[in-house]
Amino acid sequence: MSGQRLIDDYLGRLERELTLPRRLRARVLAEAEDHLLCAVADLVSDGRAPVDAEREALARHGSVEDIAGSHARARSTRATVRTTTGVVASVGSFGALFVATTQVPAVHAGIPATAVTSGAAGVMGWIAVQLALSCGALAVIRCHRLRGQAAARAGALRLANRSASTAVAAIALSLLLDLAAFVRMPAGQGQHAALVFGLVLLALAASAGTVAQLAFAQRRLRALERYGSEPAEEDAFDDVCDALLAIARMLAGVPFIRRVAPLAELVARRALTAGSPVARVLRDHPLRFGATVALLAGLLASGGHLVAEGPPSNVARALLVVAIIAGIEGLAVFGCYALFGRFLGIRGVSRACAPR
Amino acid sequence: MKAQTLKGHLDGLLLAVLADGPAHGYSVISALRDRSNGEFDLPEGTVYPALHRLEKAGLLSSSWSADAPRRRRVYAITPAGERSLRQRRTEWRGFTSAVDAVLGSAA
Repeated sequence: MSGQRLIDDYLGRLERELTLPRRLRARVLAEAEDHLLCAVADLVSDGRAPVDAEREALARHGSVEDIAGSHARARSTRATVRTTTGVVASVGSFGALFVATTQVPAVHAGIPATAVTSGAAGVMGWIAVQLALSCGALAVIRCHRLRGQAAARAGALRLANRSASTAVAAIALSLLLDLAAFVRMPAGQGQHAALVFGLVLLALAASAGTVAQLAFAQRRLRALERYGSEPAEEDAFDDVCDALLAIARMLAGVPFIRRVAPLAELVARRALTAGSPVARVLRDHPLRFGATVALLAGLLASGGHLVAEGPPSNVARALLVVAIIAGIEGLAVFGCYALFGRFLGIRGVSRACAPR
Repeated sequence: MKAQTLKGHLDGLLLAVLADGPAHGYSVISALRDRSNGEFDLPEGTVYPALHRLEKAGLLSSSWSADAPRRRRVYAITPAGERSLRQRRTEWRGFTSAVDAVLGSAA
Protein backbone atom coordinates (compact mmCIF):
# COMPACT_ATOMS: atom_id res chain seq x y z
CA MET A 1 0.00 0.00 0.00
CA SER A 2 1.45 3.44 -0.88
CA GLY A 3 2.12 6.07 1.78
CA GLN A 4 -0.79 8.49 1.33
CA ARG A 5 -3.14 5.54 1.00
CA LEU A 6 -1.91 4.26 4.37
CA ILE A 7 -2.89 7.55 6.03
CA ASP A 8 -6.22 7.72 4.15
CA ASP A 9 -7.02 4.16 5.18
CA TYR A 10 -6.11 4.95 8.81
CA LEU A 11 -8.28 8.08 8.84
CA GLY A 12 -11.16 6.14 7.26
CA ARG A 13 -10.97 3.49 9.99
CA LEU A 14 -10.70 6.18 12.66
CA GLU A 15 -13.80 7.92 11.32
CA ARG A 16 -15.78 4.68 11.49
CA GLU A 17 -14.52 3.90 14.99
CA LEU A 18 -15.15 7.30 16.65
CA THR A 19 -18.42 7.53 18.57
CA LEU A 20 -18.57 11.34 18.61
CA PRO A 21 -21.01 13.98 17.31
CA ARG A 22 -20.39 14.90 13.66
CA ARG A 23 -18.71 18.28 14.37
CA LEU A 24 -16.33 16.93 16.96
CA ARG A 25 -15.56 13.91 14.79
CA ALA A 26 -14.63 16.24 11.90
CA ARG A 27 -12.34 18.19 14.24
CA VAL A 28 -10.65 15.04 15.55
CA LEU A 29 -10.09 13.79 11.99
CA ALA A 30 -8.72 17.17 10.80
CA GLU A 31 -6.32 17.28 13.76
CA ALA A 32 -5.23 13.67 13.17
CA GLU A 33 -4.61 14.34 9.46
CA ASP A 34 -2.59 17.51 10.19
CA HIS A 35 -0.63 15.68 12.88
CA LEU A 36 0.22 12.73 10.62
CA LEU A 37 1.25 14.93 7.68
CA CYS A 38 3.48 17.07 9.97
CA ALA A 39 5.07 13.91 11.40
CA VAL A 40 5.70 12.49 7.92
CA ALA A 41 7.27 15.77 6.74
CA ASP A 42 9.59 15.81 9.80
CA LEU A 43 10.63 12.16 9.33
CA VAL A 44 11.25 12.64 5.60
CA SER A 45 13.40 15.71 6.33
CA ASP A 46 15.38 13.46 8.74
CA GLY A 47 16.16 11.18 5.78
CA ARG A 48 13.46 8.48 5.96
CA ALA A 49 11.86 7.09 2.83
CA PRO A 50 8.28 8.47 2.45
CA VAL A 51 6.59 5.08 2.93
CA ASP A 52 8.68 4.30 6.05
CA ALA A 53 7.98 7.79 7.38
CA GLU A 54 4.24 7.27 7.01
CA ARG A 55 4.36 3.86 8.67
CA GLU A 56 6.33 5.31 11.61
CA ALA A 57 4.02 8.33 11.91
CA LEU A 58 0.99 6.01 12.08
CA ALA A 59 2.67 3.77 14.66
CA ARG A 60 3.51 6.78 16.85
CA HIS A 61 0.00 8.17 16.56
CA GLY A 62 -1.44 5.00 18.12
CA SER A 63 -3.99 2.42 17.07
CA VAL A 64 -7.43 3.51 15.89
CA GLU A 65 -8.94 1.68 18.88
CA ASP A 66 -6.64 3.50 21.34
CA ILE A 67 -7.56 6.91 19.94
CA ALA A 68 -11.32 6.21 19.78
CA GLY A 69 -11.15 4.64 23.27
CA SER A 70 -9.42 7.66 24.81
CA HIS A 71 -12.04 10.03 23.33
CA ALA A 72 -14.85 7.73 24.53
CA ARG A 73 -13.33 7.59 28.04
CA ALA A 74 -13.04 11.38 28.34
CA ARG A 75 -16.61 11.94 27.09
CA SER A 76 -18.09 9.21 29.27
CA THR A 77 -16.40 10.68 32.36
CA ARG A 78 -17.77 14.15 31.58
CA ALA A 79 -21.28 12.78 31.00
CA THR A 80 -21.29 10.95 34.35
CA VAL A 81 -19.89 13.98 36.22
CA ARG A 82 -22.69 16.10 34.73
CA THR A 83 -25.29 13.87 36.44
CA THR A 84 -24.13 15.31 39.79
CA THR A 85 -26.24 18.43 39.17
CA GLY A 86 -29.35 16.35 38.54
CA VAL A 87 -28.77 14.10 41.54
CA VAL A 88 -28.23 17.10 43.85
CA ALA A 89 -31.41 18.79 42.49
CA SER A 90 -33.51 15.60 42.81
CA VAL A 91 -32.29 14.64 46.28
CA GLY A 92 -32.39 18.29 47.44
CA SER A 93 -35.98 18.91 46.34
CA PHE A 94 -37.03 15.49 47.65
CA GLY A 95 -35.30 16.23 50.96
CA ALA A 96 -37.14 19.58 51.16
CA LEU A 97 -40.44 17.77 50.64
CA PHE A 98 -39.56 15.19 53.28
CA VAL A 99 -38.51 17.83 55.83
CA ALA A 100 -41.57 20.00 55.13
CA THR A 101 -44.05 17.14 55.50
CA THR A 102 -42.49 15.46 58.52
CA GLN A 103 -40.53 18.06 60.46
CA VAL A 104 -42.54 21.29 60.03
CA PRO A 105 -45.43 20.88 62.50
CA ALA A 106 -47.70 23.42 60.76
CA VAL A 107 -47.38 21.64 57.41
CA HIS A 108 -47.58 18.21 59.01
CA ALA A 109 -50.76 19.14 60.87
CA GLY A 110 -52.26 20.71 57.74
CA ILE A 111 -52.13 17.49 55.75
CA PRO A 112 -55.27 15.38 56.27
CA ALA A 113 -54.96 11.73 57.21
CA THR A 114 -56.25 10.72 53.77
CA ALA A 115 -53.11 12.20 52.21
CA VAL A 116 -50.74 10.26 54.43
CA THR A 117 -49.55 6.95 53.06
CA SER A 118 -50.09 4.23 55.60
CA GLY A 119 -49.75 0.48 55.96
CA ALA A 120 -47.54 -1.32 53.42
CA ALA A 121 -47.41 1.80 51.21
CA GLY A 122 -46.23 3.83 54.20
CA VAL A 123 -43.44 1.36 55.00
CA MET A 124 -42.42 1.24 51.33
CA GLY A 125 -42.38 5.03 51.22
CA TRP A 126 -40.22 5.19 54.37
CA ILE A 127 -37.73 2.66 52.93
CA ALA A 128 -37.71 4.54 49.61
CA VAL A 129 -36.87 7.80 51.43
CA GLN A 130 -33.87 6.22 53.12
CA LEU A 131 -32.73 4.46 49.96
CA ALA A 132 -33.04 7.69 47.97
CA LEU A 133 -31.06 9.74 50.48
CA SER A 134 -28.28 7.17 50.98
CA CYS A 135 -27.90 6.35 47.26
CA GLY A 136 -28.09 10.07 46.44
CA ALA A 137 -25.24 10.76 48.87
CA LEU A 138 -23.28 7.83 47.39
CA ALA A 139 -23.83 9.13 43.84
CA VAL A 140 -22.74 12.66 44.78
CA ILE A 141 -19.58 11.36 46.51
CA ARG A 142 -18.69 9.18 43.52
CA CYS A 143 -19.41 11.86 40.92
CA HIS A 144 -17.47 14.40 42.99
CA ARG A 145 -14.50 12.03 43.05
CA LEU A 146 -14.70 11.63 39.26
CA ARG A 147 -14.70 15.42 38.86
CA GLY A 148 -10.98 15.49 39.58
CA GLN A 149 -10.21 12.71 37.09
CA ALA A 150 -9.37 13.25 33.45
CA ALA A 151 -10.67 9.91 32.24
CA ALA A 152 -12.15 7.49 34.73
CA ARG A 153 -12.38 3.71 34.54
CA ALA A 154 -15.58 2.23 33.14
CA GLY A 155 -16.22 0.39 36.44
CA ALA A 156 -16.15 3.66 38.43
CA LEU A 157 -18.52 5.34 35.95
CA ARG A 158 -20.87 2.34 36.06
CA LEU A 159 -21.07 2.41 39.86
CA ALA A 160 -21.66 6.19 39.92
CA ASN A 161 -24.48 5.79 37.38
CA ARG A 162 -25.98 2.87 39.30
CA SER A 163 -26.08 4.77 42.59
CA ALA A 164 -27.68 7.79 40.87
CA SER A 165 -30.24 5.55 39.09
CA THR A 166 -31.18 3.78 42.33
CA ALA A 167 -31.61 7.14 44.11
CA VAL A 168 -33.87 8.46 41.35
CA ALA A 169 -35.88 5.22 41.20
CA ALA A 170 -36.44 5.36 44.98
CA ILE A 171 -37.41 9.05 44.79
CA ALA A 172 -39.85 8.29 41.95
CA LEU A 173 -41.44 5.43 43.93
CA SER A 174 -41.88 7.59 47.02
CA LEU A 175 -43.27 10.53 45.01
CA LEU A 176 -45.72 8.31 43.18
CA LEU A 177 -47.01 7.01 46.52
CA ASP A 178 -47.38 10.62 47.72
CA LEU A 179 -49.15 11.64 44.51
CA ALA A 180 -51.55 8.69 44.78
CA ALA A 181 -52.38 9.77 48.33
CA PHE A 182 -53.02 13.36 47.18
CA VAL A 183 -55.26 12.20 44.34
CA ARG A 184 -57.41 10.35 46.88
CA MET A 185 -57.65 13.47 49.06
CA PRO A 186 -61.07 15.26 48.90
CA ALA A 187 -60.92 18.72 47.29
CA GLY A 188 -60.57 21.68 49.67
CA GLN A 189 -58.87 19.69 52.42
CA GLY A 190 -55.40 20.38 53.73
CA GLN A 191 -54.10 23.90 54.41
CA HIS A 192 -50.70 23.20 52.94
CA ALA A 193 -51.72 20.77 50.23
CA ALA A 194 -50.73 23.20 47.47
CA LEU A 195 -47.23 23.67 48.96
CA VAL A 196 -46.71 19.93 49.33
CA PHE A 197 -48.15 19.23 45.88
CA GLY A 198 -45.78 21.88 44.41
CA LEU A 199 -42.78 20.30 46.13
CA VAL A 200 -43.82 16.89 44.78
CA LEU A 201 -43.99 18.29 41.25
CA LEU A 202 -40.62 20.05 41.70
CA ALA A 203 -38.97 16.83 42.85
CA LEU A 204 -40.61 14.94 39.96
CA ALA A 205 -39.30 17.51 37.45
CA ALA A 206 -35.78 17.33 38.93
CA SER A 207 -35.93 13.53 38.81
CA ALA A 208 -37.05 13.61 35.16
CA GLY A 209 -34.05 15.85 34.37
CA THR A 210 -31.74 13.44 36.17
CA VAL A 211 -33.19 10.48 34.25
CA ALA A 212 -32.38 12.30 30.98
CA GLN A 213 -28.80 12.98 32.15
CA LEU A 214 -28.42 9.37 33.27
CA ALA A 215 -29.67 8.03 29.94
CA PHE A 216 -27.08 10.23 28.20
CA ALA A 217 -24.30 9.06 30.55
CA GLN A 218 -25.35 5.43 30.06
CA ARG A 219 -25.13 5.79 26.27
CA ARG A 220 -21.63 7.25 26.58
CA LEU A 221 -20.67 4.41 28.93
CA ARG A 222 -21.84 1.78 26.44
CA ALA A 223 -19.61 3.43 23.80
CA LEU A 224 -16.67 3.28 26.23
CA GLU A 225 -17.29 -0.37 27.10
CA ARG A 226 -16.49 -1.36 23.51
CA TYR A 227 -12.84 -0.55 24.32
CA GLY A 228 -12.60 -2.26 27.68
CA SER A 229 -14.41 -2.38 30.97
CA GLU A 230 -11.85 -2.05 33.73
CA PRO A 231 -13.15 -2.38 37.29
CA ALA A 232 -13.23 0.64 39.59
CA GLU A 233 -10.14 1.23 41.70
CA GLU A 234 -12.09 2.59 44.65
CA ASP A 235 -14.41 0.58 46.90
CA ALA A 236 -16.88 1.09 49.78
CA PHE A 237 -14.02 2.03 52.12
CA ASP A 238 -12.99 4.87 49.80
CA ASP A 239 -16.64 5.99 49.63
CA VAL A 240 -16.77 6.15 53.43
CA CYS A 241 -13.44 8.04 53.59
CA ASP A 242 -14.58 10.55 50.96
CA ALA A 243 -17.95 11.02 52.69
CA LEU A 244 -16.27 11.68 56.05
CA LEU A 245 -13.80 14.05 54.43
CA ALA A 246 -16.65 16.01 52.81
CA ILE A 247 -18.52 16.17 56.14
CA ALA A 248 -15.33 17.29 57.93
CA ARG A 249 -14.82 20.09 55.39
CA MET A 250 -18.40 21.27 55.90
CA LEU A 251 -18.13 21.13 59.70
CA ALA A 252 -14.77 22.91 59.76
CA GLY A 253 -16.67 26.17 59.17
CA VAL A 254 -18.96 25.72 62.19
CA PRO A 255 -17.61 27.80 65.15
CA PHE A 256 -17.93 25.31 68.05
CA ILE A 257 -16.99 22.23 66.06
CA ARG A 258 -13.91 23.96 64.61
CA ARG A 259 -12.23 23.74 68.03
CA VAL A 260 -12.46 19.96 68.22
CA ALA A 261 -11.72 19.48 64.51
CA PRO A 262 -8.02 18.51 64.97
CA LEU A 263 -8.94 15.80 67.50
CA ALA A 264 -11.75 14.50 65.29
CA GLU A 265 -9.37 14.46 62.35
CA LEU A 266 -6.79 12.48 64.33
CA VAL A 267 -9.41 9.88 65.39
CA ALA A 268 -10.76 9.68 61.83
CA ARG A 269 -7.28 9.22 60.37
CA ARG A 270 -6.53 6.38 62.79
CA ALA A 271 -9.89 4.71 62.05
CA LEU A 272 -9.57 5.14 58.31
CA THR A 273 -6.07 3.88 57.64
CA ALA A 274 -5.98 0.92 55.24
CA GLY A 275 -5.12 -1.64 57.97
CA SER A 276 -7.58 -0.37 60.58
CA PRO A 277 -10.49 -2.51 61.90
CA VAL A 278 -12.95 -0.21 60.06
CA ALA A 279 -11.19 -0.90 56.75
CA ARG A 280 -10.99 -4.65 57.47
CA VAL A 281 -14.70 -4.94 58.31
CA LEU A 282 -15.69 -2.88 55.26
CA ARG A 283 -13.48 -4.76 52.83
CA ASP A 284 -13.39 -8.32 54.20
CA HIS A 285 -16.64 -8.69 56.14
CA PRO A 286 -19.28 -6.71 54.24
CA LEU A 287 -22.21 -8.52 55.90
CA ARG A 288 -20.91 -7.54 59.36
CA PHE A 289 -20.71 -3.97 58.10
CA GLY A 290 -24.30 -4.21 56.79
CA ALA A 291 -25.51 -5.65 60.11
CA THR A 292 -23.74 -2.88 62.10
CA VAL A 293 -25.24 -0.14 59.92
CA ALA A 294 -28.68 -1.80 60.19
CA LEU A 295 -28.40 -1.96 63.99
CA LEU A 296 -27.31 1.68 64.24
CA ALA A 297 -30.12 2.77 61.89
CA GLY A 298 -32.63 0.80 63.95
CA LEU A 299 -31.46 2.37 67.23
CA LEU A 300 -31.49 5.82 65.64
CA ALA A 301 -35.03 5.34 64.29
CA SER A 302 -36.37 4.07 67.62
CA GLY A 303 -34.59 6.87 69.51
CA GLY A 304 -36.09 9.42 67.12
CA HIS A 305 -39.54 7.91 67.64
CA LEU A 306 -39.22 8.08 71.44
CA VAL A 307 -38.11 11.74 71.29
CA ALA A 308 -40.91 12.69 68.89
CA GLU A 309 -43.71 10.84 70.68
CA GLY A 310 -42.51 11.27 74.25
CA PRO A 311 -41.40 8.48 76.62
CA PRO A 312 -43.85 5.56 77.12
CA SER A 313 -45.54 4.99 80.50
CA ASN A 314 -43.11 2.30 81.70
CA VAL A 315 -39.70 0.79 80.91
CA ALA A 316 -41.12 -2.48 79.57
CA ARG A 317 -43.26 -0.59 77.09
CA ALA A 318 -40.30 1.59 76.08
CA LEU A 319 -38.15 -1.50 75.46
CA LEU A 320 -40.95 -3.08 73.42
CA VAL A 321 -41.27 0.05 71.26
CA VAL A 322 -37.49 0.20 70.76
CA ALA A 323 -37.36 -3.50 69.89
CA ILE A 324 -40.20 -3.28 67.35
CA ILE A 325 -38.98 -0.11 65.60
CA ALA A 326 -35.30 -1.07 65.69
CA GLY A 327 -36.21 -4.56 64.41
CA ILE A 328 -38.29 -3.29 61.48
CA GLU A 329 -35.80 -0.56 60.56
CA GLY A 330 -32.80 -2.86 60.97
CA LEU A 331 -34.40 -5.56 58.84
CA ALA A 332 -35.29 -3.03 56.15
CA VAL A 333 -31.75 -1.58 56.06
CA PHE A 334 -30.09 -5.01 56.08
CA GLY A 335 -32.51 -6.24 53.40
CA CYS A 336 -31.70 -3.28 51.16
CA TYR A 337 -27.97 -3.78 51.77
CA ALA A 338 -28.23 -7.49 50.90
CA LEU A 339 -30.41 -6.76 47.87
CA PHE A 340 -28.65 -3.74 46.35
CA GLY A 341 -25.16 -3.95 47.93
CA ARG A 342 -23.42 -5.76 45.08
CA PHE A 343 -25.23 -3.77 42.42
CA LEU A 344 -24.11 -0.53 44.07
CA GLY A 345 -20.55 -1.76 44.70
CA ILE A 346 -20.75 -1.44 48.50
CA ARG A 347 -20.92 -5.18 49.31
CA GLY A 348 -17.75 -6.72 47.89
CA VAL A 349 -16.44 -4.84 44.87
CA SER A 350 -15.13 -7.82 42.94
CA ARG A 351 -18.34 -8.85 41.21
CA ALA A 352 -20.00 -5.44 41.05
CA CYS A 353 -17.12 -3.85 39.20
CA ALA A 354 -15.70 -6.80 37.34
CA PRO A 355 -15.48 -6.59 33.57
CA ARG A 356 -18.24 -8.37 31.77
CA MET B 1 8.09 6.27 30.01
CA LYS B 2 4.79 4.41 30.01
CA ALA B 3 1.53 6.32 29.47
CA GLN B 4 0.28 4.99 32.83
CA THR B 5 3.17 6.71 34.65
CA LEU B 6 2.26 10.01 33.04
CA LYS B 7 -1.37 9.70 34.15
CA GLY B 8 -2.21 12.59 36.43
CA HIS B 9 0.68 14.73 35.17
CA LEU B 10 -0.23 15.07 31.51
CA ASP B 11 -2.51 18.09 32.01
CA GLY B 12 0.23 20.01 33.83
CA LEU B 13 2.82 19.08 31.19
CA LEU B 14 0.57 20.26 28.36
CA LEU B 15 -0.13 23.54 30.17
CA ALA B 16 3.62 24.03 30.73
CA VAL B 17 4.39 23.54 27.04
CA LEU B 18 1.63 25.95 26.00
CA ALA B 19 2.76 28.55 28.56
CA ASP B 20 5.62 29.28 26.11
CA GLY B 21 3.14 30.34 23.44
CA PRO B 22 0.27 29.09 21.26
CA ALA B 23 0.94 25.90 19.30
CA HIS B 24 -0.89 23.23 17.32
CA GLY B 25 -1.22 19.64 18.53
CA TYR B 26 1.78 18.23 16.70
CA SER B 27 4.19 20.89 17.98
CA VAL B 28 2.85 20.50 21.55
CA ILE B 29 3.54 16.76 21.41
CA SER B 30 6.96 17.28 19.75
CA ALA B 31 7.90 19.83 22.42
CA LEU B 32 6.81 17.39 25.12
CA ARG B 33 9.03 14.67 23.62
CA ASP B 34 12.01 16.98 22.98
CA ARG B 35 11.92 18.69 26.39
CA SER B 36 11.79 15.29 28.11
CA ASN B 37 14.68 13.98 25.95
CA GLY B 38 12.33 11.41 24.44
CA GLU B 39 11.17 10.06 27.83
CA PHE B 40 7.53 11.12 27.34
CA ASP B 41 6.83 8.98 24.32
CA LEU B 42 3.14 8.11 24.51
CA PRO B 43 0.69 7.28 21.67
CA GLU B 44 0.51 10.77 20.18
CA GLY B 45 -3.15 10.58 19.17
CA THR B 46 -4.21 10.05 22.78
CA VAL B 47 -2.94 13.54 23.73
CA TYR B 48 -5.74 15.24 21.76
CA PRO B 49 -8.56 14.17 24.13
CA ALA B 50 -6.49 15.74 26.94
CA LEU B 51 -6.19 19.00 24.95
CA HIS B 52 -9.96 18.95 24.30
CA ARG B 53 -10.64 18.32 27.97
CA LEU B 54 -8.41 21.20 29.08
CA GLU B 55 -10.22 23.43 26.61
CA LYS B 56 -13.62 22.33 28.01
CA ALA B 57 -12.32 23.13 31.49
CA GLY B 58 -11.43 26.66 30.34
CA LEU B 59 -7.69 26.18 30.84
CA LEU B 60 -6.96 26.34 27.10
CA SER B 61 -8.56 28.08 24.17
CA SER B 62 -8.31 27.00 20.55
CA SER B 63 -9.09 28.23 17.06
CA TRP B 64 -8.55 27.16 13.46
CA SER B 65 -5.40 28.71 12.05
CA ALA B 66 -5.86 30.70 8.83
CA ASP B 67 -2.21 30.68 7.73
CA ALA B 68 -1.64 26.91 7.68
CA PRO B 69 -1.52 24.85 4.45
CA ARG B 70 -4.46 22.78 5.77
CA ARG B 71 -7.02 22.92 8.60
CA ARG B 72 -5.00 23.25 11.81
CA ARG B 73 -6.23 23.80 15.38
CA VAL B 74 -4.01 26.09 17.45
CA TYR B 75 -4.16 25.94 21.24
CA ALA B 76 -3.30 28.73 23.69
CA ILE B 77 -3.23 28.87 27.46
CA THR B 78 -5.91 31.01 29.16
CA PRO B 79 -5.47 33.08 32.35
CA ALA B 80 -7.24 30.27 34.25
CA GLY B 81 -4.77 27.83 32.70
CA GLU B 82 -1.85 29.97 33.88
CA ARG B 83 -3.24 30.01 37.43
CA SER B 84 -3.73 26.25 37.31
CA LEU B 85 -0.16 25.79 36.03
CA ARG B 86 1.25 27.92 38.89
CA GLN B 87 -0.67 25.83 41.39
CA ARG B 88 0.46 22.55 39.80
CA ARG B 89 4.10 23.74 39.85
CA THR B 90 3.89 24.58 43.57
CA GLU B 91 2.31 21.20 44.35
CA TRP B 92 4.91 19.39 42.24
CA ARG B 93 7.82 21.16 43.97
CA GLY B 94 6.39 20.25 47.37
CA PHE B 95 5.92 16.63 46.28
CA THR B 96 9.38 16.23 44.72
CA SER B 97 11.16 17.81 47.69
CA ALA B 98 9.27 15.43 50.03
CA VAL B 99 10.18 12.41 47.87
CA ASP B 100 13.76 13.69 47.63
CA ALA B 101 13.96 13.98 51.38
CA VAL B 102 13.03 10.31 51.73
CA LEU B 103 14.80 8.77 48.73
CA GLY B 104 17.84 11.01 48.95
CA SER B 105 18.60 10.01 52.56
CA ALA B 106 19.41 6.42 51.52
CA ALA B 107 22.37 7.58 49.40
